[in-house]
Amino acid sequence: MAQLTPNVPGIQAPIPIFKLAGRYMLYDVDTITYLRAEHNIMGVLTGQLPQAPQQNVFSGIPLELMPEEARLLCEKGVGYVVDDVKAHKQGFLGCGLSEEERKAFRETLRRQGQAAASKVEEKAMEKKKNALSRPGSTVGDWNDLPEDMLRPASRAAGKKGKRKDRSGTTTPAASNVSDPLALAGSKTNGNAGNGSGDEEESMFGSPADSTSVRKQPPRRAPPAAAQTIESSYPAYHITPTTSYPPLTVASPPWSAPVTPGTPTTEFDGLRTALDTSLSELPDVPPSYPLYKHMHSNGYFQAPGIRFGCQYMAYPGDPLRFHSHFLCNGMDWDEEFDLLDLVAGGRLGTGVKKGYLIGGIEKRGAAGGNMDNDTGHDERNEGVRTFCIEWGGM
Amino acid sequence: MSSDRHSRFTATSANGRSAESMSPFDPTAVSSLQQFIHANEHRRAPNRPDDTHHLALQVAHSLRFQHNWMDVRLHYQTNRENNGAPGPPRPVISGLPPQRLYVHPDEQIDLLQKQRREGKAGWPEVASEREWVLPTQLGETWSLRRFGEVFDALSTIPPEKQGGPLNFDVVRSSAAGGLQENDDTKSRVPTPGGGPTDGEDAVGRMPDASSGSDAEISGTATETGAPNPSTAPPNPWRTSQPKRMLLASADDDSTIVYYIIHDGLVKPRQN
Repeated sequence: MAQLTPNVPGIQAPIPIFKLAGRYMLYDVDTITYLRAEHNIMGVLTGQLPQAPQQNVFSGIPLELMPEEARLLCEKGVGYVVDDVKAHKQGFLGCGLSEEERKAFRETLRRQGQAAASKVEEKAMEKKKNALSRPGSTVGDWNDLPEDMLRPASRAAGKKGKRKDRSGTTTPAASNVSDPLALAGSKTNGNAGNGSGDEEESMFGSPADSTSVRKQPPRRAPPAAAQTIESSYPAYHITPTTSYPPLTVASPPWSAPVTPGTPTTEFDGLRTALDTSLSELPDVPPSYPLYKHMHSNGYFQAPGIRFGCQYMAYPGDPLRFHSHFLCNGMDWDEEFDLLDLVAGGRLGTGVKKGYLIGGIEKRGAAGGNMDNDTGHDERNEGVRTFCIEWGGM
Repeated sequence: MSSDRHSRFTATSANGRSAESMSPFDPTAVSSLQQFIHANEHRRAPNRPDDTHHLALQVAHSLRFQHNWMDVRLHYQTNRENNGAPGPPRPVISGLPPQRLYVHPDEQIDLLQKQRREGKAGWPEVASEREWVLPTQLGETWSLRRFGEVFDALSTIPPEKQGGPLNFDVVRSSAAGGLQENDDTKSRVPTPGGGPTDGEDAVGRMPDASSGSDAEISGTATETGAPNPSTAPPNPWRTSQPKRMLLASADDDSTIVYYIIHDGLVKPRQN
């Protein structure tokens, strides 16, 4: 298959698909890119963007997969389902991580937090210096500190802003003050993500560090004095975006991993390996055969609730094309009202799409082959589809 | 006559008059649609239900007189190549629309490019193509299987001179008035006792205004002046695409709306 994006990252296949509260989530950008480029799986981004939190037009990771998408990936051997809650409980509370690993992890988090704090402090110092170095700073905005407050002798002369008590954010390990100073000094160039946003908060007051030696950390250290040595900015509490560097993902239920390059047919030998773990395949609605049929024809499919159907089928990447079909999958013998068909056809024509219905064609008489245990009969008779549009007369 | 009135798909009269209307005119007058149904009762295949037959006739009437379709025929058997295939589960109609009804989007691009190459502007003249029509009523329930069965019984292109031609003359003559004409037309209709007619009865009546209602029972139908798609080779776009048919859905208020159904994946038109 031609690779449309030459920069598709290599990923470790098979991909774990994390099941959480009945939803199938992916957290890794590389994985998401790979699935979109190689497997025509889109998913829906459901995460908030930190740059623009109060809108949902643009979303970020994690990506939520439809149960049909998750099941298709599992059947092809490209992915497998991991029960996220169980994995976390086992990993963090159970015997997943050893004591040394946990300590090392906590240490990493703490160091990241301290690096962030020192970066913030450095920026604050920088700003202060710039403000002070300006001669006759009468043109500064009124938020700037008046000069007489900056003299060290008059430190007691009023503190602006309120203090925010952040007693809840204690770092796990005991933080001795000397340690962060040494680290902070060496990491002045470290890039901490929290730096820009937290500059404002540092103006109003420092978070209290309950384990710190000093009870009242001064808001402003002497400007010309050693900037980082007397740093009182305690480490920020870092929440990692992924728990899988310390945790290891459970291995897939089959033994032989699938390399990303090999083409997989839907029902090759991996299916037999999966038979024992069929219960782990995601549950899908009865429209799944139509989903699989469209996917095998190269269509991207998105949830179709916007148009009152099950899927919207795009002939290629959704960034390039409008969708062609509004898809409704159903059983071959399922009775539906003609009025629903007509409504779908009119809606589709109104939005320049075709209304598509389909299901697995059963050759036997109606009511005959009701047993689905003989799966091979079903598979040999593919899916038959009908497209409906308004006649224009 | 009263039996059709009680059948499930009895249409309301085309001109708004029913036999029990309070018109000061002849209280036993029948609407033109009812007359048409009477005149074509014999077209029903034996042992087939009345209601689908009358529904098909209602749709045929609408196609001919509302939409000006030509050569509207009724089929109980469709004579596909594999003669073992069962016929359609209900009678289907075939006919020739006055203009081309469906142009595939790729064919549209192709035609426009051809126009540009030849230096012409606008849309070229395209020959009309014969279409299948499936009559249904809007309150019915269907399933994928039933649509599959109908499609399996249809050929890709409806054949030209097969199926049962319908007697449309009765409708025009009824405008002139009277049941007397009705009797005349009945006598002229060939093989009154016959059921499905498959090619033997090749009376291709073209209810054209000029030909009128003269008894032209001949072995082969001569088409007079109408666009002649039968002599042209079949459109390659038609034969390479999935089968299509028109789904005619009749509502209780006697409006009939038509939808195109394709047997396969066909991308939508850019209307």
